[in-house]
Amino acid sequence: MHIVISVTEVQSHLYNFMVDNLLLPSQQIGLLMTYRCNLNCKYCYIKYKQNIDMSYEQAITILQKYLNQEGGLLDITFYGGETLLVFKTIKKLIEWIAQHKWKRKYKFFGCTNGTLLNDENKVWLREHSDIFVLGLSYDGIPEIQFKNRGSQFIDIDFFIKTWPQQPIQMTINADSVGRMAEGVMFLSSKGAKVNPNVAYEEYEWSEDALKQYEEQLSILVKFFCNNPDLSLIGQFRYNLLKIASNINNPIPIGKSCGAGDGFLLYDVDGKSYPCHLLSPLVLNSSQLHQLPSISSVTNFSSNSCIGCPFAIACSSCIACNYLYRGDYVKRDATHCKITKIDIRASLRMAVNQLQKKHYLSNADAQLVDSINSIVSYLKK
Amino acid sequence: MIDDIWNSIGLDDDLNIFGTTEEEVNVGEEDLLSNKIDHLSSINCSESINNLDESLINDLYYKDDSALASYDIENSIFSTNKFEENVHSEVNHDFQERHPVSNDLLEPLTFSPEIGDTGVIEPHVDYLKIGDNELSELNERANGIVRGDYNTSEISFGGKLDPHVCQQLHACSGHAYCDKCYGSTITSL
Repeated sequence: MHIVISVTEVQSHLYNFMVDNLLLPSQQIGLLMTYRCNLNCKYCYIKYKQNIDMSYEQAITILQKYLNQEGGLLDITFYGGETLLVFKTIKKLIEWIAQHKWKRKYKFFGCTNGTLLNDENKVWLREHSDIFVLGLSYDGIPEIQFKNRGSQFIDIDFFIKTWPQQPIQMTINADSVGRMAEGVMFLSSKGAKVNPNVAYEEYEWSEDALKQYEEQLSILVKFFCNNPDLSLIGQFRYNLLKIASNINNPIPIGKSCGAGDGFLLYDVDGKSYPCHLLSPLVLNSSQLHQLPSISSVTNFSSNSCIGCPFAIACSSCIACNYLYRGDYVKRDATHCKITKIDIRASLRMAVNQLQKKHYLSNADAQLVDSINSIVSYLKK
Repeated sequence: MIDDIWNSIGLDDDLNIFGTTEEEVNVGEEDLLSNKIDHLSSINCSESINNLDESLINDLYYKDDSALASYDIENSIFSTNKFEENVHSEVNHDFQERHPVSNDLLEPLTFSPEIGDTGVIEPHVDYLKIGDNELSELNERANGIVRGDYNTSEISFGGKLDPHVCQQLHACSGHAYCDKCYGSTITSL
């Protein structure tokens, strides 16, 4: 039997294979779709809410340029403000893009508070879930969601069913940390993947809040060990091998996002910025005018980070560093302490998982070596 | 086996981890509705809210929550039995009787530890500590297993970010289709 495949088909398959396997570098851009939001969350960093949206025409102009360039996946993220406040524009935009042929694959992503979901947009979102992922931001249990954000009744199940692989963003701050475990368990028990992230805020956490965070993680270690089929939260997914290898051979700390050297955020008027936190959404015109070049910074570690083996796994937002401390490299102490607690929790989780195994594999033995190495370091 | 593991962790019955304020505990449905109205009138985004359709606001804040209504309490981890089994297995029974676990999601998992409660008011316990015995046991089990080539380049970031780091950033909402942090592959890690 002969199968005839055209050159175009082969090229298409090859292209898809290369994109899917990251053999072609992808590109991420952001569109600041709106300055509006219908909530006022406690930890929100947006300072300048205004009644301004990006027009459909502006969005098309920006996207056409990128989609007509050959390359890997174009990852387009909608920023705001609340994404669903501009649902009509987004719907029109995605439908237009989907109707035309482009030189590269693309995917849309947006984050929402979920309050503006209705039957009509649910139908459309379901139909377009393969090219548009809408991630829900929800702070755990309804009570905390209400305290942090003023909203409570969200159709969480819609998000879980429509985008089962998309984690729910659960923001943790010092006020809500004592209910973190409940929140993770509540959402996990619904079948959701959960990302409990500690907010980047201006103020450092107290020692008491940090202690609560540690206690909450200890509860969650137990919860996830008792429920091994659930997707682990990021706090238990640190790569201990990488950290252990970094104890004796620390590598320089790089910047942990694409801001300033790849990623671009387009404002409603078409001007581009390094990220949404370094845009008019957050900074005033004077601050924007004085914004130092990110590409001129070569070392993103604070002095206190030099030699720290955990620094490679320690998240730091350079924009928040600039926003709150006036310097891209001035990290907050809270996330440093949080990372160390997380790593201890990851160690605890790994030990528990290893203890449950009847046989240790080659990889398990390496992990034991890594645990020994990190525990010894922590004891010093 | 699992009990041994938990005992070795040192998790005790320090229930104040679920402690909350009396005010939170006593919020009933009527109070919540009232609170919502108060909250709406007090938050700074009232202008934005006023711009929205009134029926939409009603829909947003006062409708019944079908998701919560259909939440299977009996079979959830919040059911008394499962919750006790999963989280509070070491709780002493006297304390449980005085502070029963609530099944009401509006008053979730609330405890009010009192001074004198046995095992409740305790100095901070290092729950995450890994004991020497545990490590010795694991070392013994791992003893003799041949490790693969420990090529550090294989376990380095290879130009890509640790997904954990990426997901911790505001810039990334944990894209479902991204486990390599596409947008960050260009960074120096």
